[in-house]
Amino acid sequence: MSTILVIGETEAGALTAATCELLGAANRLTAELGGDVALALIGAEPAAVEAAGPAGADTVYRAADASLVQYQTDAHLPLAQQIVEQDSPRVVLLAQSSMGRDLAPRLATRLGSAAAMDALALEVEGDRVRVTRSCYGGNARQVVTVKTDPQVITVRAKSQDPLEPDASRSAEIVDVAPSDADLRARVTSKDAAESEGVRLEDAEIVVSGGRGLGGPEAFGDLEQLAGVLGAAVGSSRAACDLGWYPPSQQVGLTGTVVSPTLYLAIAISGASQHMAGCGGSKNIVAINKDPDAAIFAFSRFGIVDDYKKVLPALESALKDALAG
Amino acid sequence: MDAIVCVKQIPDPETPAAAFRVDEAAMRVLPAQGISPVISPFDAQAVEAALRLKDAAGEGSVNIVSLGPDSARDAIKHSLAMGADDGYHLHDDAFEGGDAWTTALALSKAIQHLGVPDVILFGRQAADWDQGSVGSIVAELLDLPSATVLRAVEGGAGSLTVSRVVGDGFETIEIPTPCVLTISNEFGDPRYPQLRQIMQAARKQVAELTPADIGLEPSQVGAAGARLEMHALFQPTSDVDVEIIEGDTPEEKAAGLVAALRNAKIL
Amino acid sequence: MRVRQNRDLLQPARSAPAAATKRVSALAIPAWLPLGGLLLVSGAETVRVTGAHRELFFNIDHFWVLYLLLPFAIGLIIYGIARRSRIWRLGRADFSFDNLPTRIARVLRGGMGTERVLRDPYSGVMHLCIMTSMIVLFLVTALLAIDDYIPVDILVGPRYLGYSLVADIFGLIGVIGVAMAVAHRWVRPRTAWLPTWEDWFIVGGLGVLLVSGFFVEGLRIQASEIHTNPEWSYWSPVGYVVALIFSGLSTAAVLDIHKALWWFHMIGALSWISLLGYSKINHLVMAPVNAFLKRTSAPGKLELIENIEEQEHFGVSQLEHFSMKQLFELDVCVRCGRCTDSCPADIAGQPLSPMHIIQDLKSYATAVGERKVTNLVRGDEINFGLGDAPAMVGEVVRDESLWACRTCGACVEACPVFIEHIPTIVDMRRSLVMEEARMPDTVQGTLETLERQGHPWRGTPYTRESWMEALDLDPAEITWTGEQEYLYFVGCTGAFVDRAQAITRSVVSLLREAEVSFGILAGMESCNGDPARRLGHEYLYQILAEGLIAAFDEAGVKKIITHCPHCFNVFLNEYPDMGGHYEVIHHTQLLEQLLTEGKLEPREVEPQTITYHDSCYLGRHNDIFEAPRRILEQVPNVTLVEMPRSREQGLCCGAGGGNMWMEEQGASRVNEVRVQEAADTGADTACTACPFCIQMFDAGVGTVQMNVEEADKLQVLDIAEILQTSAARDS
Repeated sequence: MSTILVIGETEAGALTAATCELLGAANRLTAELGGDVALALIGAEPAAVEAAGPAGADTVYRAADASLVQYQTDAHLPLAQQIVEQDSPRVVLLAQSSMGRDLAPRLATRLGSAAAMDALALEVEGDRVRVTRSCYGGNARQVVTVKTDPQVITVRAKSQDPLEPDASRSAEIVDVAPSDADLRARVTSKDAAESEGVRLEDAEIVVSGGRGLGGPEAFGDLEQLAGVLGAAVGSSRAACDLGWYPPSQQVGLTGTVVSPTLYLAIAISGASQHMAGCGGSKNIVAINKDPDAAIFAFSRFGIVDDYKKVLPALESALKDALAG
Repeated sequence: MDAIVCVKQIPDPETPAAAFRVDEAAMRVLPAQGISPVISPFDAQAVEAALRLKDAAGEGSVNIVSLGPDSARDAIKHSLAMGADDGYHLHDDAFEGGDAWTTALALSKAIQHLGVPDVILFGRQAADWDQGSVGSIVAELLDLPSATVLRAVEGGAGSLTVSRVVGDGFETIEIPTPCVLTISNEFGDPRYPQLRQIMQAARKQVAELTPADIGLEPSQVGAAGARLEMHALFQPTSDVDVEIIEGDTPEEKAAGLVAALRNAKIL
Repeated sequence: MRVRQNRDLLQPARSAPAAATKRVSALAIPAWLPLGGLLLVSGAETVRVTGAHRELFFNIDHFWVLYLLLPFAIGLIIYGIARRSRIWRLGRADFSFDNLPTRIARVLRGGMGTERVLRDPYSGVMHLCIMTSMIVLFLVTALLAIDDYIPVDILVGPRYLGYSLVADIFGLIGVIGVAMAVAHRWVRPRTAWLPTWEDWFIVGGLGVLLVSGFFVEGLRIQASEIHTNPEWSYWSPVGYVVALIFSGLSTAAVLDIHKALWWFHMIGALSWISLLGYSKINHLVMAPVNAFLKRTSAPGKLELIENIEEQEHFGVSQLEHFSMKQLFELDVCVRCGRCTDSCPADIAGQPLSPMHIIQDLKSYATAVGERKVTNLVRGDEINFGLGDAPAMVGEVVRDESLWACRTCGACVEACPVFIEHIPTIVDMRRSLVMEEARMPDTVQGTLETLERQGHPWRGTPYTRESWMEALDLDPAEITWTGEQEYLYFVGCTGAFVDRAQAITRSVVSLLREAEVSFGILAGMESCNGDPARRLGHEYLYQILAEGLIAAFDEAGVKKIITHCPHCFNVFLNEYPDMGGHYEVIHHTQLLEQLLTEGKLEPREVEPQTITYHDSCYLGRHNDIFEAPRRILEQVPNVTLVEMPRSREQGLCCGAGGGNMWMEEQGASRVNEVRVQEAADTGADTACTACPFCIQMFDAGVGTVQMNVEEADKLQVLDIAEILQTSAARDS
C-alpha cells in the first residue's frame, strides 16, 4: 500500500522522461502526504524496472509481457485497475501522454473516481492534491481537486522536475500476472510520423521566417533549427510571395492560422496580416535586427541581432539544453 | 450506420487574448463583447466524421446530444445544419455546475435512453476546459471499446478502422461497433453548412431531456454530483512587455534565450 | 497561364418548335418595332430609287423580286430576335425604370452617342467611321427616296452633286472603318479575344458590301453618266474612278456586270442586315436598349434578396435564376474586350476575364437555354433531360474566376454597351457560398469569424477599443452619447488592424482639432456586413445589417462619418434597402469641407510629391474623385502627380470583393502591379483614403521595392494621416 501510484511508461526499454518527472513529483508530494511511492510498469523490460528505484519508486508493480509493450486500452485498463486495487493508493499519477490521456479517465471511472487532466502544478492541501491546470486553450488556469478517491491526475510533460537518480535506492518488485483481457480494439500497425515533418497547424513549436531572411537559402537553416526542436517551419506571406518557401507553409491571414506553445519569429517584421495567423501563439519569441520591429510588441522574449549570427549559436545551445 | 455525436457550445477559442476575461470570484469566463459562443471545433469535426461515416454507409442516422444551458441549442443547431438528423438537449438547472464525470454520466444515460448506436463520437476535448475525458468516461460507463484522438475513421457497422494520433506517429486500430471514438483536429475541417440546411435546422425541433427523462436524480448531476472541485480560475500573468535578451555576443544571447525559455517552462 | 472557361462542355442545342414564339417578348417589342420600320423604308427605297434621275431601276429587270426578299429579311430578323428572347424570358422579370431622365440621357449619350466607345482612340475612330458611314448612307438613301416620292425635285443641280459627293465620301469613310477593323484583328488583336467567324462575316461582309456598292455605282456611271453628263460623274469621285476601270469594256458587258453586281449587292445587303437577329450586329439596337436598362444606382450596389428565408434557391446557379436583364445583356456583348483589358485580375494574370464570363454564359444560354425553352414549351420540368449539361457555376464559369473578382467596377465602367458584370458575378458567388457552401478556406474562415466575432479579422489580437490606448484622451470624451451630431463609425479594419488604427487615430485628432461634434460606438460597434455581402453570403449580410441598423436606431444615429469606402458604400447605397436611412459622409468629404470652412488649417509639410490612388468604392462606385485631390492641393509643399490609370480608370489595389481575405491565384499580385504604377510616377508618397488599399500598398511596397533603400521607398499614407501631420495640433 502506497500513498501515490505512478503509472509509468517506457520507451526503448528505459523509463520515459515523463515517468521520471512523475516520480519526482510523487516524492515531493509524499514528503507532505507521507507514505510511499509505487510505480506500475506494464509491459516493462528489466532495465526500466531497475531504474525505477533510483528514480524514486519504493515499489514497482511489474506486468512483464511482450504483448503489453504496445499500449492498448483494453489490455492496459484491467491491469492498471488490478494494480491500483492491489496497492490502493490515494493518488494515481499518469503522464499527459498518448497513453495517459486515454487511460486515466477510464481508469478513474472504473475505480469510482475521477481524473484531473493535464496538470501543470501539484500542491498538497490536507489529503488532497491541488491541481493547477491549463484551460481555455492556455488563456486561463484552473485549480481543482479530485473529491473522490483515488485522485487520478495526469501531468504535463516537462512541468515537473525528476529526482537526481539515487543509485542507493532500490524498489521492491511485485509481479502482477496479466489476466486474459478481452481485447476489443486492437492496434494493428503503427507508422512513424511522416518524414516531411510536423504539420504546421498541429505543431507545438513553429519556427517561422520572413522577408528579413534575405533569401530562400536561409530557410534551410530554419529547417535545421526546427529539426532540433521538433518544430514545423512557417513563413510570412512576403517570403512566400518571393518564392522562398512553399505557400502551404504560409502563416497569416491568407495562410494557415497557428497557435503553438512557442512561435519563433525570425526576421519577421510583425505585420498585422502575419500576426493574424500567429497572434494566438502562447509565446512568441522574436529575433530581429531592427529593435523597433512591430513583432517585439507581441513577443515574450526577443533578441535584437542579425539572425545569421544568432541562429547557429541558438541551435547549439538548444541541442545542449534538450540533450541535458 | 447510426451515430450519436456529443457536442458542446463554448466561448469562441479564437477570442483574442486581449478580449479574454475571467471573473475570478465567480470562477467563470466572462463572455467577450460581440463574440458569440461556438460549437467546440473538435466537436464539429466529430460531427463531420459521423456524417462521412453515414454517407459512406449510404444509410443510417446521425443524432446530436448536447448538455448545457440555452446556448447549447446553438451547437445542436449548427450540427443539424451540417447535416445531422435530430438533436437532443440535456437542459435543466440541475445539470449546471457539473464536471466531466456528471456530464459523461448524463450523456451515457441519454445515449442509453435513445438507444446505443453503432458509434458514439466526441471531439478530443471540449476547447473550454480542455479535459478531454468525457468520451472515455462514457465508453467506460457503457462498457464499450474506445479509441481516442483520431485523425481518420473508416468502415461501417461491425468494424471500424481508425487512425490514432500518438506522440511519435500514428496507430491503426481495428475496433468493433458499437464503440466510442474521439476526433482530433488532424481529421480536417468540418463542412460549412449550406444556407438551406441552416434554415431547415432552424425550424427543426430539438427535444429537451431532463435528469428524470434519462433516469437520473438531480443529486447525481450538475454541481451536486461533481467529483472535481474547482478552487480558482484565473488568467496566467504573462510578461506583457517583451524581455529583450541582452548579451555581448550572439552566443550569450542564444544561451540567455534558451535559459529564459526553460525557466518559463516553455521548453 | 490564363485559365479559360471551358466551352467544350457545351452541348449542341436541340431546335425548338416555332410554337414557342407565340409569346412576343416585352423586350423584343422595343427591339424590333423601330428596327422593322427603318428597314422597311430604307430597304424599299434603296431598291426603288437606285439610278434615280435617270431611271428607277436602271438596267434592272424583275426588280419586284426585291419586294419579296425585303419582307423575308425583316421576318428573319424578327424571328431571330423573338426566338432569342425566349431565352431572355427564362429570367426573372424584375425591371426598374426609375430615374427616367438619367436613363434617357444615357441612351442618347452612351447608347446612340457611343460616348464610351470613343474613349479608346483607335477603336473609337474605327467605330465612328463605320457608324457614321452607315447612318449617312442610310440617310442618303432615304433622302433619295423622299426626293423621288414627293412631287418637287430637291436633288437637282448643285444640290444633287453635293449630295453625290457626301455619299461617296461617307462610303469611303466606311471602307476606312472596315479596313481599321480588319487591321485591328490582324495587326493589333486585343489581349482578350481572337476573331471568330462572326467577326469576319460582319466586318468582311460590310467591307464587301461597301466596295460592291462603289462598283455598282461605277458601272452605272460607266454605262450612262460618264457619256451623257461626264461633269456630273466627277462629283462621285470613287464611282468615277471605278468607272474608269471599266472604260475598256463594251457598254453591253458593263451593263451585264452591273446587273450581276447590283443583285449581289442588294441580296448581300439584305443578308447582312438579317444577321441583326443572329449576331452581335444586334448591338446597334440592343446597346441603346441596354443603356436604358442599366441600373441608375451605384455600379457596385448589390441587390437585396428579399424574404431570403423563403427562397427556393440562393443566388444564381441556373440560367432561369438570372433576371431577364442579365440574360439580355449577355447578347449585347460585342466581345470588344475592354472589360478584360481593364480588369485588375486579368492585368495581374489571374484567372478572370469578365468578357469571357459574359461570352461563356452566352454560349451556355444558347446551348442549354434552348433546351430549357423546349422543355417549357413541351410542358416538361425546365431542367428535364439536362443532367448531361455542364454546371453553369463551376464548369462554365469556374469558381476561381468568380473569386478573383474585386467588384472594383472597372469592367462596368469600361463596357461600351453597359453590361453590369458585378451583379452577375456576385449572384453566382452567392450560389457558391449559400447554396453549395463551396469556397476557399480563407473565405470560410472570414465568414466564420464574421458570424462569431462580428468582424472579419480572424486572429486579431485587438479589441474595438485597443486603438484608443495610444491616444492621450479619456475614452468617455469621444463615446457616443446620442447628443453628438455625427457617429464616427470606426469599422472593423480601423479597430482590428494595427496599420489602420493609426488612420483612426488621425481621423479622431482631426475631428477634435476642428471641433466636430462626434462620438464612437467602440465595443457596441459591429461589422455592417459588407465583407459577407461581397463574398456572396447575403444571408449573413442581412443578419449583420439588421443588427447594426437596430443598434444605430436605438442609439439615435442620424449622421455617420466613415474613413472606410466600403463601409461608406454599404451605408450609403445598400442600407436604405434594409430600412437604414442615414446621412453618410466619407472622411475625405468632411475634411475637405472643414478645410473650406477654415476649421482646419493646413500647415507646411516636408516638400513631397504625392500620387493619389483612387479607392474603387470611393471613386468609381461613388464618384468621389475630387475631394481628396482638393485636400492634397491645399497642403503646402505637396505636389500632386497622377498615375496613368486614375479616377474612373483607376486600378484596384487588389483587396476589393473580399479578396483582402483570399490568397491570390495567378501570375502576379494586383497590389504589386498597382504599387509599381505608383512608384513609376516618381512620387515620394502614395496617398489613399481606404484602410484596405493602405494594407495592400504596404504589402506591395515590401515586395516591389524590396531592394530599394528604406528612405527611398514609397511612403503609404491615408489622406487623414497626411492632413494630420499638416493640420492637427497634436502632430
